[in-house]
Amino acid sequence: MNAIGAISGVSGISGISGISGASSVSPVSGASTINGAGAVDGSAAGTQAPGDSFLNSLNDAFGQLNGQLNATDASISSFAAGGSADLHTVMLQMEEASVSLKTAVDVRDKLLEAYSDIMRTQL
Amino acid sequence: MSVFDTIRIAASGLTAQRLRMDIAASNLANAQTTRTQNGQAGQPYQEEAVVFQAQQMGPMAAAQGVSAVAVVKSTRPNTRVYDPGNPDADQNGFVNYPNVDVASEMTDMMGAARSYQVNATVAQAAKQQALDALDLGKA
Repeated sequence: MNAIGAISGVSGISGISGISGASSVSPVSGASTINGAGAVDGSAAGTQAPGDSFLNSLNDAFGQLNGQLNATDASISSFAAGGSADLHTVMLQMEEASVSLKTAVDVRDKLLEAYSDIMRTQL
Repeated sequence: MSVFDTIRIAASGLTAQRLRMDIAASNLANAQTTRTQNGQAGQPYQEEAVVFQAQQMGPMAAAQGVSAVAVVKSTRPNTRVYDPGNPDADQNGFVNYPNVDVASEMTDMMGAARSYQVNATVAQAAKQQALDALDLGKA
């Protein structure tokens, strides 16, 4: 129960999709690539299995984290090269990236914890 | 509303106060400037002020950041000083000095510095909030 609770709790990561306001991955195509077993019915395009949605969110969140880290990298380079970026803009971007990375690491820890909890199940 | 929206609003405040500080620095630096940028005499520097406007930053309309929309020149009359020896003096021997009020520019500068601090504190508090939220997941 603990492990399942951890997994569903983690699905709150979809909140991260607000980071850059980027368009989210199409639910249907994303679901079919991530979970090959889950045949997505065309008529039920609006609804999806909870697992698919979670993986989508996770994929999305990590994609955005990557984008954020790259953007931070670019603005640090530009600042170091004497660009016009404000010091506080660079610092806050670094902090945002750091918080996002911490969130991602926490999510990973929770996932691994849940996974090992399940793997320890005595049969 | 993501915690990053809070940080972004605070960042807009920081940028705004930086600009305000820049303008105060410009006003103070040019408090005795009697010529324009291209060397034209008799047209002293004019005091400038920034105009700020609220701006929606995140998905929530009520949580607004700030952006500078204009830098306006003060219409206060110039200070006329009798100094016939000055190369920029007019026929009557008066020199037009800028309409910069140094005392009020100093208070504006201090206001900008304090407001910058306030916005930096908000950003820090928002970040701490996010870290506290992450700590909820710790056993």
